[in-house]
Amino acid sequence: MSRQEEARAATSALTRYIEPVCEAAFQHRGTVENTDANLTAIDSLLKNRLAFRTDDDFGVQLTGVVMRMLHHVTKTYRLRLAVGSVADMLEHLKTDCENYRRAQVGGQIEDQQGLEADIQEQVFELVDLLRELIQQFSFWVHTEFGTFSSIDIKIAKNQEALSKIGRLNQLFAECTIVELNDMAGNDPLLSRLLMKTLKRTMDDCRQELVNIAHRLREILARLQNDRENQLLNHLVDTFAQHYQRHPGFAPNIDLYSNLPDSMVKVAPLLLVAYPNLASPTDHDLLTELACQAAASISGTKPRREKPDFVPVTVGSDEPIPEQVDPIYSSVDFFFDALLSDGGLHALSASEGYQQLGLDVEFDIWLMVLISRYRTQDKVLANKVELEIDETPVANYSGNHVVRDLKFRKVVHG
Amino acid sequence: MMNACFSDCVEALLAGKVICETSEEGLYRYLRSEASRTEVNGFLYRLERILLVTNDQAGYYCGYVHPEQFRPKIRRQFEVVASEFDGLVQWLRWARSATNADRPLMARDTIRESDLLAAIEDSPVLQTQLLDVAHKLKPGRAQGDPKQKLRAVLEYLADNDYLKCLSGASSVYVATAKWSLLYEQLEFVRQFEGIQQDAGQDEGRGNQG
Repeated sequence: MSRQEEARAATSALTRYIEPVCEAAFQHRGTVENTDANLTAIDSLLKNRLAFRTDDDFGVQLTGVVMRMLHHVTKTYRLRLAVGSVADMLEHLKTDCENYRRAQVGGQIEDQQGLEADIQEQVFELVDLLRELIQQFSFWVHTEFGTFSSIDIKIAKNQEALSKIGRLNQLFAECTIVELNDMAGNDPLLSRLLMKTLKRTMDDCRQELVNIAHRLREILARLQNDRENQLLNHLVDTFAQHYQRHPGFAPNIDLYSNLPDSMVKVAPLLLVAYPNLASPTDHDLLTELACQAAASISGTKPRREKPDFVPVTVGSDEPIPEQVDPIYSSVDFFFDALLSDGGLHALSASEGYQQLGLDVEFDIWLMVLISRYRTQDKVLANKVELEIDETPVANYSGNHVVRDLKFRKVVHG
Repeated sequence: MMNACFSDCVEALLAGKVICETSEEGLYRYLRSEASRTEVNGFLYRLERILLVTNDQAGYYCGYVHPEQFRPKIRRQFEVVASEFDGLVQWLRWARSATNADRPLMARDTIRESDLLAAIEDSPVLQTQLLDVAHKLKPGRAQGDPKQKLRAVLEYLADNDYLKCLSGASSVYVATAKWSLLYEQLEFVRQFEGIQQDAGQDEGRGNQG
């Protein structure tokens, strides 16, 4: 087989199986999957040395030459993916529109015709570019960045896509209908191109981008959640493994510096107050509190003092004579001696004390006598006179020392 | 009402509690307000304390403004928590397996005792693992069958504010934000101690999504 024939056969194989080749190159990192549908393609690619078998049976790998060629021919597409090119094209279109109107006013027909063709081409290119961009974003949404295995890269790609959408939306917002109307002026061709073709495409794109951005944010949230789950799983499994290897592992906080918030959680702060137990002024209150506390701990009420019970014997109905204190009997005898017929004319307390032989102090005897005399004042005052033998106490005004009481019978004339 | 929320909040925070939607829904909603947080923080600051929130915003707790001045207290607190790390990590792995979850327990997750019982009935491996978990979490060391062990572990976690029992009869538990705090503490210890997982160990978990 000549060199030309080999080249033709290889190119023909690529053309025939371009779909599985592109799918492999753009979505599976160059691997043509070993499926029934791909069997003939794999055979042909292997035969033309456009792919080679790997160790696993998953499929065949496209050669580096094919991968580089595909990347090369799609370079323009990928470059144009940059949102900046949309802005550049719009800017370029704006300049050409101005030049077109200027040529129109100046009557430069040739320039006008040339610019007319340019503007038409630019508008259609721009429309194509916007549609391709939307397709690209739709592709990401559809595959959910499945061409990457790392969650971190998926998240980065998602954020990048959202950022591009944001810039595109901003671009659309700046390219208002007033702006396009200014660019078109009164020219019917420009009006048709800008106000109908371009504007309609931009409106469609804007609507599509809203939906795509919404879906991308959902995917991003899920990816971030997945990453969080992955980190948590990793954390828990790491510690489980560590404790398996080091059963007595006890982290020492003293070695740690720059403690984060999670490590400075407060110890429980008890809101309590303590009394001054040595304070004499609060002695009664503290005693009472202590009794209550003791009672609440023991679960019983403070015990009351047991009263002294006096044994009572139930006797007969006969009255029990009350025992009279001898001193009161002596007082009765004393006044009887004065008041009875043929009794004494006068009698002093000291004489009575000696006669009766009382077993109480003389002071008490004086007190009891005068107390009886005062309480029975109405009865005794008319019959007996009282003379108090007393001496004032020096330096204590109003105080007297009573030495004796002298009672004398009143003789009524 | 607001004053009551304020005082309840301050009291709970100073008592070292983590306020979250599960543990104290009313107080958590109160603290979601910027004005409330400012008010509470102003009070705590006078006590050299500050209102903190977990990274996932699930729970509020109180920390020291100047941790270096309270180092002994922080150490004692941490020693208590760290002594439970092993048991809690084992529980998280066990619960993840028993519930067929793709991640460990997080704040607001619901756990049903009946589901866990059904899981251990079908799996002798889970029963054995549960014994290990119960042994590491001290209250589960008592004698008993797996059902009693599971109940003891759940009650232990509820008593320590990791779970909140929704209803005594049906034994439905909801995870609190104390787990969020635990994960942050574990992550700090992991980073500081340089604890690494072996390559290939449990690879791919969490990539399901």
